[in-house]
Amino acid sequence: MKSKLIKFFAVVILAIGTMSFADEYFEISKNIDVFSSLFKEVNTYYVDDVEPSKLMRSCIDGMLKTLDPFTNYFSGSQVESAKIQQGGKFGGLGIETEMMNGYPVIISVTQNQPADESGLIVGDIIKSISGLSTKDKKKEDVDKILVGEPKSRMALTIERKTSLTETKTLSFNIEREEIQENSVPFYGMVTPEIGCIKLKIFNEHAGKDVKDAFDSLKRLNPNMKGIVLDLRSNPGGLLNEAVNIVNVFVEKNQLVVTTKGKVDEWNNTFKTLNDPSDTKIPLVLITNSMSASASEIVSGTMQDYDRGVVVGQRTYGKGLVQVTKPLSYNTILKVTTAKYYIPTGRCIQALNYAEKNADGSVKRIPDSLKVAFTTKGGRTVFDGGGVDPDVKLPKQEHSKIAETLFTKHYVFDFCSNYKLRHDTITDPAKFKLSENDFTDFVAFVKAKDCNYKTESEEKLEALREAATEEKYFDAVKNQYDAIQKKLAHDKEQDIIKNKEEIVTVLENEIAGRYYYAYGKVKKSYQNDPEVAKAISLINNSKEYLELLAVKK
Amino acid sequence: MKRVRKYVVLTAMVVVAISGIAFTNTANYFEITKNLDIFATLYKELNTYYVDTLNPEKLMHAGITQMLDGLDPYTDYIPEEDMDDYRMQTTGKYGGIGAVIGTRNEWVMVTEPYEGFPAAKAGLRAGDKIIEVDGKSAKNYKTDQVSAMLKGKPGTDVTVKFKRLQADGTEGEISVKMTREEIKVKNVPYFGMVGDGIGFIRLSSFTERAGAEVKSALQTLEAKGKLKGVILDLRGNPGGLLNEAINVANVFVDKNLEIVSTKGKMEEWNKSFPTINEPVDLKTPVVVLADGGSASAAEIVSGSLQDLDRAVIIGQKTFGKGLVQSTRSLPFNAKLKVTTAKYYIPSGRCIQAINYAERNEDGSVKRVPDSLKVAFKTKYSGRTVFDGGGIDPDVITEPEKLSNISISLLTKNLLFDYACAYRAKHEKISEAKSFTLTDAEYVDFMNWVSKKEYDYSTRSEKILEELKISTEKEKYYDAIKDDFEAMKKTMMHDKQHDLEKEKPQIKSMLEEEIVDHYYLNTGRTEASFKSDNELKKAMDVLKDEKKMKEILAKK
Repeated sequence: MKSKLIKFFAVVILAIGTMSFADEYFEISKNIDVFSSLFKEVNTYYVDDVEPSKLMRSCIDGMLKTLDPFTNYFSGSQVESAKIQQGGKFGGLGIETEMMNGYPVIISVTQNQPADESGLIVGDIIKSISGLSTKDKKKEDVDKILVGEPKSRMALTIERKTSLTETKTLSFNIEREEIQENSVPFYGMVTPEIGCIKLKIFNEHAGKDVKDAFDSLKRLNPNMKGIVLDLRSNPGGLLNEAVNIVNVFVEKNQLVVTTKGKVDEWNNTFKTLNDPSDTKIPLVLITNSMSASASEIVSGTMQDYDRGVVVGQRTYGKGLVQVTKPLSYNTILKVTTAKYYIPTGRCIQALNYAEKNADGSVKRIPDSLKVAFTTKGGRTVFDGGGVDPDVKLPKQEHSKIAETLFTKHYVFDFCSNYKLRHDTITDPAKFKLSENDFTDFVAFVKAKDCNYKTESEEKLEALREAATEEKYFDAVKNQYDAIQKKLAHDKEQDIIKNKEEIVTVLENEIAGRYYYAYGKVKKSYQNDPEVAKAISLINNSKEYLELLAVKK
Repeated sequence: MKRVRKYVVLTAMVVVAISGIAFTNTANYFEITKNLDIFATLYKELNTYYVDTLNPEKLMHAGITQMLDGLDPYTDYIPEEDMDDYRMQTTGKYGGIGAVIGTRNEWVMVTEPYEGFPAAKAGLRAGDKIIEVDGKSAKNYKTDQVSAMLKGKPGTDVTVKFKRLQADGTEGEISVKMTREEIKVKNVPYFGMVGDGIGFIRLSSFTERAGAEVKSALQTLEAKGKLKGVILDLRGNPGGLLNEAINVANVFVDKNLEIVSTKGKMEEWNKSFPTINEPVDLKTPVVVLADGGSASAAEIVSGSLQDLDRAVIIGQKTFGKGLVQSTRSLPFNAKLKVTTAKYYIPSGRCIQAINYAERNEDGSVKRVPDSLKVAFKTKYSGRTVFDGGGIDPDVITEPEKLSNISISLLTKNLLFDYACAYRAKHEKISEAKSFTLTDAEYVDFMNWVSKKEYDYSTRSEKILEELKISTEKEKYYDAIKDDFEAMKKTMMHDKQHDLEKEKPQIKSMLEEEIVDHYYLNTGRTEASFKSDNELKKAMDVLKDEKKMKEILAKK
């Protein structure tokens, strides 16, 4: 719901031999020389005390900012968390937290991991960790204490709501385990004959996870006639895993990706290496604007081989590959070394970071400069701007009221209360919020502070300021007052107006409380226009085949 | 004169010799070395492996810029190729023909010849389009390219061919040979009598000789007869050399008075700067005109004359720059301009307005809040003055605000273009101080400008459009449509109407511009007097002996 901008990683580890900067060597050492003197002078003579590492950080940020957003520097302390993001391996409990009212609150628990096995549940407030109070800590600091060496132990003091009016303080002593982040939070049948796999990240075992999921669906449902691969909001990850996932549905020895860098010897091709699971079964991929990098390799390759229909919104458009290079003092540089090209030969990079506009803003590749490529079957596809779905659907947006209810945690709190009153719920696919429950929710929110300004109200206020300054306000005051009255809104009305959307949000959250991430995804698929379209495409093989056929 | 107030702040430079680098402690030394090591490896890796070919110099420059921006806006890196401009900024000297030029469409155009230098002597005018320099076409050249062609060693010749607008509206071509001279941009572009025995000196920068120029201007004025008062105009003066600030103050105050002391992190930066010369005039009443564009050295002069109860300051609160930079040499002829100290004026106050060391959470800078400002006493009268935010004038005036239409006419160069056309049609005009446009001529201007493309939108209009988009998106627009349209109608601007409404302002701006095309900067300054309310206020105060005394006396 909240669109978090996660850093996109597409990490390839390539073996690289000697460095060759004979030509640039002088330029580079000259600049280092100038910089060293400057840095010493500034640290020595600047009027106030300065911190060398802070200065260096801003210098490096300043340089990297001129390149692309994926070339990053990690200082020693950042390296640990960067490792976690890349490898997906660390010692932890298997929870996610968010700060609410000054304390970290558990917002999701992963099934069968230490926190889950010790009995921690969503909604638990973490008051202290190993004796340290968590009050008013930053989320990133809390996360840092929660992770550690596998097998190490930590003590947690938890405050848990035990009824609508009572809370209890509980103590836990839990051993951290190596957490392998699950790349496939959900797979299952969304109709009796159609399976669906949600892939949320391309970590080390993503390829295996997808293959296992598909094979198991097929084994348990011999009559399965189509499969949906949900790549929405998947930020990418390891390039090899993208190749492995393509390989589940595409023959061995097929070209998936070519990378090209500044120097010839770094150019590389990546082919499928294994025997596929199924090269025939109808396949629909769902993407959105946050499907990036490895997600675009998978969806783009399926499109280029006419192997599947892509449904949703145009993908992010990241066609750049990074490698990580260790630097001195345990620091790391993640640097863009190559562009990648999918089977038709197109690069889907949308922004050209090398040539910026005069004002420093980045240029999007204009449609007129996009180059046409031909898929294996002869369809026309374009480079320069992500993967364009074969079936475009409008972006799903939330209303202002739904967003407010969510960010103020009223959805979260209501669902915690719901859990207290209901020991179990039915299968998430069948679960429905009752009319009474919705009425309860309206009453619950009514008592809360839920002020928010619509965009129109914000603009009207800005207008008043500008008009006052430019001395128009008195002349338009009557119209202003009239407009202000008409823009005024009422939260209860807004909730009722957006009932369907809010009920869906509540149902998804409640399903997650009983059936973990799996239940949340399963429930959300019940009310998902993109999944519905994918299902209808598989059920309507004429339309499916037409989309993959050459347009006459 | 209407000045578009640019808060450009130059440097207050002190050049002091310092021996080797002394690190404050070993821990810091280790930190510096460690970070340099990281930088060197990162920089090499980046240049080697990055997907596109990088320009190492540009890359490092971007890093340095961001690093130094985090300190304060005055700490700067100056690569070798920028050194000429930098030297010009500090010395005010270069070899050339003495004309300000600027790009207009495909040609570079003379915008202002400096009085007394080759371009002006050869008859070049504002508006002349430079089409060839030494036989080489300058079509589609940028300003800096043409500038490089025009600059050169004093004594060498340069031939410039240019196009000039003629009375019939066509353009004629003229070729002129000039001998380059050392161009020294004057710190005092104008001085003279403004009536009633009152002298006026405008000081617009503090490069080398600023003190000598003010001294000689005052002596020239005094030679003409007894002065009842003198006005030192520091409006829009961005500062410059610290020593020149001392020299300028020294013209009005006695020898051996401390004007400035500096304090830095290092002991060796704690220094005192007293006046060292015999003054010119300790008695004649002085008014200093200052505004938000008066910074640094200009604040030392206005602040020290206030602290020493020597002058009445009129205008608006000054910029508030109390930091001193010094220039340090780097390898390969690059330089570092680094803030090394704060300066304190005679009452002991530092007028720095922004504390760059402590920032808000979002990285934005903090102004010193009024509640934390400290009171100081002026040296002789014991008047209360404050630190932490520029010099507060003794008499505050409202700055004149340019209307939206005036800004648009100015930035679209329409006043300039009209003045060029006017100059082509009228061989002579009356003298600068008395030149006015008739109402018929203003109507002519309105007709001329009505055919030109220019527009401006008010902020209200812009937000009104945004409101429309938001309300459409949020489905309120239909309900508010009538009110919205009515509101829009009231707020829409009308150019012809605004030209009438803002006539007094536009007319005097236009008059100044036209006068400039005949009598150059001197003319422009003189033409500006009649609409300069701050100057009028200064004259009123100077003429009112009682008021002067009252302001400078202890409360």
